[in-house]
Amino acid sequence: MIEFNADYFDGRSAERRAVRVRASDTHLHVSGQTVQVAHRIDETSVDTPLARLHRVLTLPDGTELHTADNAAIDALFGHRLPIATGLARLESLWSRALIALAVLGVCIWMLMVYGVPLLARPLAALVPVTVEQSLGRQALASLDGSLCKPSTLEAHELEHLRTLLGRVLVGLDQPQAITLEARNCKGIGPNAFALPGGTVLVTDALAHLGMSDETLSAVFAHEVGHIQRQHAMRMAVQTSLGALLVGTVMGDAASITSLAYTLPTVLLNSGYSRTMETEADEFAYERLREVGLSPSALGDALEALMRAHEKGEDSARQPSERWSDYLSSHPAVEERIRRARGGD
Amino acid sequence: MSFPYPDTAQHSGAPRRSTRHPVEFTGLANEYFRIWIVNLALTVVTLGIFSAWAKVRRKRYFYGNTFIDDTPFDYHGQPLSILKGRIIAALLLSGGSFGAKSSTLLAILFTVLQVIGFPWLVVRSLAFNARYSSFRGLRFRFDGRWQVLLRIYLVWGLATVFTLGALYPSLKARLVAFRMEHHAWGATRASLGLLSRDFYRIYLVGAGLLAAALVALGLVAALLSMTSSQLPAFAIFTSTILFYLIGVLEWAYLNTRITNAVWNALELGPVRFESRLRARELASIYVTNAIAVVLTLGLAVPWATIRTLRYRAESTTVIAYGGLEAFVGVNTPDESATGESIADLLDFDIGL
Repeated sequence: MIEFNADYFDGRSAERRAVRVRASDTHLHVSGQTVQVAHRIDETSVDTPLARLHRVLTLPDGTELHTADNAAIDALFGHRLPIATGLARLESLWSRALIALAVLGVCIWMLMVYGVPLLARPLAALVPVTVEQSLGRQALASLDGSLCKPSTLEAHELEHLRTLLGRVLVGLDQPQAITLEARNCKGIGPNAFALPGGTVLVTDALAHLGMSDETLSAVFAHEVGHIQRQHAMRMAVQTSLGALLVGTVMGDAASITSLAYTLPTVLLNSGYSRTMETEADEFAYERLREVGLSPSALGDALEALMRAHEKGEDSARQPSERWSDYLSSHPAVEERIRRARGGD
Repeated sequence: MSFPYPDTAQHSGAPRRSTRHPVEFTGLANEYFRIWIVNLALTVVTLGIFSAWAKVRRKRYFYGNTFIDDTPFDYHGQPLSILKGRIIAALLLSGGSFGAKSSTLLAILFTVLQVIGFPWLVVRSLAFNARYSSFRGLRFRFDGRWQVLLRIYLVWGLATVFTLGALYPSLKARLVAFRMEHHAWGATRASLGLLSRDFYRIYLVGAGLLAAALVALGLVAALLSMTSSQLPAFAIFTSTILFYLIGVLEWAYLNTRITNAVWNALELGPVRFESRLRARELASIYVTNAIAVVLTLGLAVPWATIRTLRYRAESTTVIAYGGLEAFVGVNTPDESATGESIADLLDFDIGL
């Protein structure tokens, strides 16, 4: 026969009554100084085990028995709660905790590397074009306020660049209008960017690099690839999703620090951006072929940019400007040049 | 329970004997770590579905390890209700934003719904949480109405905006009063009163301290940049760290003073509370928590959670004039069973 000590609460008052509970085959016999009751075991409900917590039995009339005697309760009710008992056992063993940690690590890694980019594509497509355009305007405004000044290009130079971009766009199904802007950004050097909302931003230095028309077209094709694939928006969505994932994992510690959110996402972003560069390159090869140009022009463009930036590094540039160096965040430039030429 | 604190009520002539019950917290970091990591792994493996069960286990662990007068609290939340609530919330949000994209009218409707929906969700969550919490076999209750909360948000929220935040303490005092006074344990309702005056004093002092600290920081930054002209990075780094430190201290000051003011004014029948949180201690707990969490890539979260809860619990004392035994329930348990199942259909917890 199973016996245990418990506190009896009748649910009508907060009075605590110490009782002794004896279990027969069918009934729980509760006896104390002011309480003598018996209830059927099969009509009594029990909460699930958790660590050292006391157990609450709810008797058929709604009154409660609280007991710290987990062993007695497991012996009486354990067969009813096979899953919960198993879970409590998992939680009690360090070996299982370490397995959980390993599983968690692998799952989070898979979600971050495969799940988040997969989900970001349809989500980015859901963002209205107007939102994307306003993000692009904000990005341009912040550049205008810090790194960039109005372009010093002549009107005909600008017109020529726009004509080259227009040629790359021939016969392309564009979800958003693609336009070209030029700025004089000393700290950035020769470069081009795809802003969200369909703007290709070209620095004056790029226009002055003396690239052939075909090479410039390749640069534009690459940037158009970023725009067509919504890379800026996808990057934003991925960063938020990553933060959401880490936030969910951190759960109740949400208030502790926001730094813990951003750290892993920053580390992952460099990985995401490399994938996007490859995607834009592949788009460019295809596009260049379609408009009758050679994909190897992208290789020439990358090589020219790399040379120009290496020269820029040699000359006396402020260390604080180096962060913005576009190519330094893409260490596999040689690889990309090789692929552009091999894919001819 | 002997404590060196004077019993104010005895001085004011209350004749009844009072008993002091310190709130005790018995949660252990290593035990909670195992629970946390196992439930987290199950949550991720089930793509989030298990999170409802994980939440219930987490709350049960915290409640069940919080003792007053050698009796722990109990949490009875049902994972399925929580899961249901989360699915509804997710559907509403995604459906709403999808509809908002397709038409302007739907977008306006969605915004209005969000404004009304927010207080409704807050009230539902408070009610859910109260109804599934109990102590000594008596359930808690929350009977605040969402319309009242909406009115507070609209009237005092807008007043706060129009006065550029000057009326914020009034808004905060009303929100706290709404939250506390609609709670009951069994048949006994909590009463608090409006703490506007105390809140204004706390926020004024807080603003003064913040201003003084920022001026001092400005002086330190200026001094640093003058003396260490070769090391601007060092000056920036030191100033940034000091800036965050000031932020944490300011937050801790407001949080502890508000919490203390609320709990020290709260009355639950013959029961009073004493809250002795200290800004410096809370701030140092949070700073060390943040460092530990970052350095361990999140693995210190359970330890951080447990020590924060322990500090908060152990800074609180319950003072009972007469025994806790004297509290009565609101109705017989069998009566509440049907009412509960109806409310169960409408009630869910989204964990705000």
